[in-house]
Amino acid sequence: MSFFSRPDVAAPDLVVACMGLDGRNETSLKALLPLLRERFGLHCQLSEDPTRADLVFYEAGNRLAQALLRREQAGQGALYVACSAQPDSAEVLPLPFSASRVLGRLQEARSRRSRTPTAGAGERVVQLHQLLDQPDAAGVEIEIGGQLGWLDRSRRQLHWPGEVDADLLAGLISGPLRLRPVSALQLASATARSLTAQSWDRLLWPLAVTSGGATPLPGLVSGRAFRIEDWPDFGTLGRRPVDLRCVALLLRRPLSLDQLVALTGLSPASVLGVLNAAALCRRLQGVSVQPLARSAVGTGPGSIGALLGRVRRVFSMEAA
Amino acid sequence: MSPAAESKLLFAGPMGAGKTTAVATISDRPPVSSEADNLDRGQCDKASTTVGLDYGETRLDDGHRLRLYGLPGQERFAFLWRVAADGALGVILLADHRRPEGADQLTPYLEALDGFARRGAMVVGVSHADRGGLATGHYSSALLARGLRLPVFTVDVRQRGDVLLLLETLLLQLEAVELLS
Repeated sequence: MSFFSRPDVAAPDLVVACMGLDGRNETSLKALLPLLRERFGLHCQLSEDPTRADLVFYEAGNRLAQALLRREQAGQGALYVACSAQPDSAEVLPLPFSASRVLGRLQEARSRRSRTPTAGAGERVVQLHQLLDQPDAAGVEIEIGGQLGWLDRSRRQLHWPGEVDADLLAGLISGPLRLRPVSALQLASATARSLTAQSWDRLLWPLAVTSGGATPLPGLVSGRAFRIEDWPDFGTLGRRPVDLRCVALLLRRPLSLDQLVALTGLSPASVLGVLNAAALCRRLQGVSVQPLARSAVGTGPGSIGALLGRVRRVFSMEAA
Repeated sequence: MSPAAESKLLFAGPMGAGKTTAVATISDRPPVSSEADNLDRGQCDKASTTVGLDYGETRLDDGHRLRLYGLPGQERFAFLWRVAADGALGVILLADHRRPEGADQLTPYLEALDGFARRGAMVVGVSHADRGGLATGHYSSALLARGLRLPVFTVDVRQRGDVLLLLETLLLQLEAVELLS
């Protein structure tokens, strides 16, 4: 069955996600949720996709979570809860989790539950993708909050008055924004100013993955396979196990969305978020689908996968 | 891979790239080092350097032992790189972005450890670079010119999360090979 015709499963009371928490705390939350369901009848489902969650527990310093939080503060409704082993304010949830504090946040999230889809962010990703595709444009001018920056298509660079931060990401996701294509001459003139040149992945990759994989970008059609030619610098983008897993596979051979879902066991929305990000960053190439060897699918982790699992456990690393 | 109770992981790269630090960052106990006075200050301006192997290890939850070897950076020890590489799971290759030779600093290691690079058992970490994400492009291009599509990440090897990112990516590459071969 294709992702594009996949039926919805029964909805839980709340969808809960984690961002940037170490494996120990994530495991403890996973253990707590069924207990709270048994005791208080609150059915919560854990999701790896924070953009579809009603409640997100995030490590207080996580930059992507901070950007999403700013969007939520713009009125979309999900509850974001900062967590830290050393909380510096009463609003930060102390780690490790306690049942009573988690229950309090679950009840708060349920009371404000809103399932507003992230169409706004998704539309911006599509718009940006289309502008970058215009044959007569060398780049795109971005205006956010009175600041101007430029995306240079040939160099895959962003020129911005400073480094990409959570405010810029939040502005691009949900703030007032103006985008317009620019010619090579306009781009050269604009980027001659004193701006910080940086890889555009730092802006575009998080933008695409936070749009939630709700909408496939043009070209990401069912029945096509995709490959990635080179690795984004996840040292600067930050570690997201979903990204690492999908990119490692797409570097090895072209895969369709359904094949990636089957190989990884990840949700279609998560995988689509990665494909959208790679497409927006111009790292994705489409080719014809080739069938997978039967041995590659549904056999559980191999010896390397098992070793990876042990490494993640011993270092308390979040898994994909 | 056999169900052996241990795996070997190599840290390679020129002097000053951070191999000793990277091993120490994820080792369970202080690594055994073989530091000596650096007599080659033209290559790298630090007081001491590794002349044998650095050795650390991490015990996984089932007793599996992950052995961590930091290789000496100087090319005159290339014979030792090949000896240490026997039976290794993979290589974390570190580059020092401050060095004037840029991506060429990786050449001796890529040549000596070519088999690892070709089968995707290698990741590259670039230390001492800013986080703008532009530094890694030079290294990626140099690798592509050799037909290699290896991950190249900007890292601070003093940060455990950065070293673990390299380790995790190495294992994910090996898993992808295992799944799709």
